[in-house]
Amino acid sequence: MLDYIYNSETNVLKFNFQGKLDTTASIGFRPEIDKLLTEMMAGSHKLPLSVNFDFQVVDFITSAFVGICVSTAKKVGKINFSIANTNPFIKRTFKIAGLDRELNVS
Amino acid sequence: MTNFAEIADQMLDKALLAGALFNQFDQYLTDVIVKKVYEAGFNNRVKLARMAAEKTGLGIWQHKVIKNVAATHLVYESIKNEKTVGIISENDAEGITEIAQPLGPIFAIIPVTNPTSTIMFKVLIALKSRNPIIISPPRKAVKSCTETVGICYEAAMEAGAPEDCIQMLPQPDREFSALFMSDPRTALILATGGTGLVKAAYSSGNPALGVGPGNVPVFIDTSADIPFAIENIIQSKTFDNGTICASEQAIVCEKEIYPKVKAELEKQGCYFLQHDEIEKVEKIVFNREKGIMSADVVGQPVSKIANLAGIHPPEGTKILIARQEFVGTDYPLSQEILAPVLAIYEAADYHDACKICIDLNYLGGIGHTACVYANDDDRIREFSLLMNAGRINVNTPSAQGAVGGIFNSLPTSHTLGCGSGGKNITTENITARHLINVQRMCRRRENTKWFSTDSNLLFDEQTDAVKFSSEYHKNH
Repeated sequence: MLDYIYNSETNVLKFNFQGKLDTTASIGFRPEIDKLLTEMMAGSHKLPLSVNFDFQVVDFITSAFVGICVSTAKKVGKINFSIANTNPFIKRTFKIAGLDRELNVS
Repeated sequence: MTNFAEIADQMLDKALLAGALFNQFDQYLTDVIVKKVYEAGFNNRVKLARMAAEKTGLGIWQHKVIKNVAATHLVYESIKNEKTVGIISENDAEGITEIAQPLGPIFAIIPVTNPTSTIMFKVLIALKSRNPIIISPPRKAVKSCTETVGICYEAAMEAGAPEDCIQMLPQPDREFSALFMSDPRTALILATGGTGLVKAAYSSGNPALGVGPGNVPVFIDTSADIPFAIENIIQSKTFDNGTICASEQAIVCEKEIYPKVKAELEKQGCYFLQHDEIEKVEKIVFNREKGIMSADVVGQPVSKIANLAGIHPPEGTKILIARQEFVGTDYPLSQEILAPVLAIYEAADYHDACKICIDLNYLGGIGHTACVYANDDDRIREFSLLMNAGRINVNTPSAQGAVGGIFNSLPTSHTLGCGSGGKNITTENITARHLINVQRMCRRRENTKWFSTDSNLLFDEQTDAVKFSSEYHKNH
């Protein structure tokens, strides 16, 4: 079940993920995220859409989920995408993969 | 070339991501993957061995089955209980805690002589250490390598390994391989192959674990059980038609036992070449222009070598034996020939035998492997001290002994380190523990000798090493 909050004032879409973001979970998330992005990017907000993935309680990711991150960043633009609140192990995973800057991981 | 660069770039990015994700795996998950891949490799050992022998035209498929069993079952047995993830040892007294970290993408060069077994071996040790691996297949064995990689990858995926943890170059090519070897994303090159490739790996700027060429002398001492020695030498030298680089290249024995050794070799199915036949064999087994053995004879049976040379040994001959007087680059049969062709030297005495072995050892086989048959422990020890070899096999078939796990407790390996002599960093049999970075967490444990020694002595020019050492050890 996708958990997200949209701030219409700032045009920021924040997704809260939790637990293990394995391949099965990622397959479920992907179409929902894509649909939401398409809808919101079609809107006429004066600010560009920003997307934030909150990883506060995420402790495992797979390449399928990294794929979602990369494609989302591509859709909204690199500067409008970020991953926040990673635990140090997840932060290191993005660092080793060379994606921490690309995806604005903090 | 542009296409090669693009493909290499994509594959390395995938490997990097696979390595990053692999970092999250604990020992249990890692071991589940390794077990699954081992089982898949083992279960396909016969099919893969047949394919390798058929497609390369080298060796004997039944022997390649045994190589596949060594590369799966024996390798798995030697690594399954090893700690390769997280904290791997804690020594409270010394305050040292060792932590294993993976290296990152490994680029693995595969030799044509043992393609399927080397892939399974390298994949297992890479996965055990949570490293992604990119396989570079030899030109002649692409099909069997593709099949092997597919089997391993499918099993790894079923067990939950990260995507792209095993990849293979779509096409073997030296320039293509060079791109991977020199790329900073490559963490390590596992180079098993010809001297040129191994040298290229070491020159790439990335860390490499390679092998050196072999030229294995086997000394049969007067104290040896000669029939036993000959039986073992034949078992090793005929294994997969001599394709293992640790197989014997030259027998050396004292003149006192030479007739017995010769008679036993003949009795057990070896053929002593006549002088004119030696010349004919020399011409076809060695490429004088390149200064290396001829690829046409590698892994070929005696019958084919005899046909090529135009000689007629008795039917069923196991090994062609060439008596030699000298060792050196002018004497092709004193060098490495990965085929059932063996040189033999008659030494004047024990010391002469040792000196011939030293010459053979240093003629292109430094650091690799040597072999001795003896029942005199002093001689076994002295011979071992004289050799420059990572492995000195004692009363053991050299090929099987060096690989480990059957005749001794060496870790089973398809990459045999040859030390500085072979331009390698280690003489060990390469295994999973060589594919981890070991970090040491060092807790405070004060050196009481250091702290109890008067530090003013350090600045007093009258204090010499003897005086300082005496103070340093005082009351301890």
